[in-house]
Amino acid sequence: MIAKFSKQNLINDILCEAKALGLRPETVEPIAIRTADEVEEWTKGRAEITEDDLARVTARELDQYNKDLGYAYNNRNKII
Amino acid sequence: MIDYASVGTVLLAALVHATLQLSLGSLLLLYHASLGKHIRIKTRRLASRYVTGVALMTLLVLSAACFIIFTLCRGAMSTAGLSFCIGALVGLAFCAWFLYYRSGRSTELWLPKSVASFINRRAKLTNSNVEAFSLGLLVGFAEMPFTLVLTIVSANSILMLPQIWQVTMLLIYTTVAITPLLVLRIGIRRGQTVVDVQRWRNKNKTFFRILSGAGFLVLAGFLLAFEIMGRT
Repeated sequence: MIAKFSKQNLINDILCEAKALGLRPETVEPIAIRTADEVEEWTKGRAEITEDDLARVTARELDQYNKDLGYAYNNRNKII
Repeated sequence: MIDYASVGTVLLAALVHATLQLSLGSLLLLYHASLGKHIRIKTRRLASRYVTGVALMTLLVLSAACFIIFTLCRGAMSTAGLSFCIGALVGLAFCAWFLYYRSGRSTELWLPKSVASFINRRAKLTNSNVEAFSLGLLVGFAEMPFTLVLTIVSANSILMLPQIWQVTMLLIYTTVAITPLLVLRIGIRRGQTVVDVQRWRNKNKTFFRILSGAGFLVLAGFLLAFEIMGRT
């Protein structure tokens, strides 16, 4: 499915995932902002991106900072 | 006098029911969505209502199956009816082995994409206890393609027991069927995260697949041995 990238929505999504994992918002916020910046950079120059692409790239970036957060983000729509 | 073969059938069917993953996955989804939005105590309440919904749906479907078999079959299914159920159980065993989980490294199930995304969406939107309870009912209903035959053979066996045992076995079946949900709830309460549980489910996916399929087959064999050959 074609996705529309919004930096703020991505940051909010990451913060929600972090809250679900019991991570402190003040710890996660810089990670979320940096990840959103990197994903935004990745989206530049691409005419269309899918939701799966976006989730995969975000999870890959998050993995560098927190493995659990990356895993949770990548699997959030794959539980059932 | 208690018919132990009937008790065994009900317990075995309940165990097979407990190995199915839709209600467990949906509870995990509910936990995941709710913990990201609400405080822990609210999430616990939502999870409790969800489990109550699944339990009630299981109990109602089993009771309805008892009533229908009692009314239409005058207390017990015919050998032909039981043979059909055994055939269906064998078919379900193969479905559990080859179709129940989607291929890939996730725990996505056989559900059509639209149904899965509807349950996903409902789990994320669930904010009140009534919605959580309704989600439990919905999931109990959505799992019926796999649980209906289990329910029918259990209902048939329950009707062969003395009246006081009928009520007891209805409750035991429901309790065993929702045991994974209760275990998950206790696990999360004791500090396991959704990621821990999901990693564990992913790691043991093949084991669950084999267990479910083997359970259906063993139940089919049990019915054939004790309910058909044993009574003729």
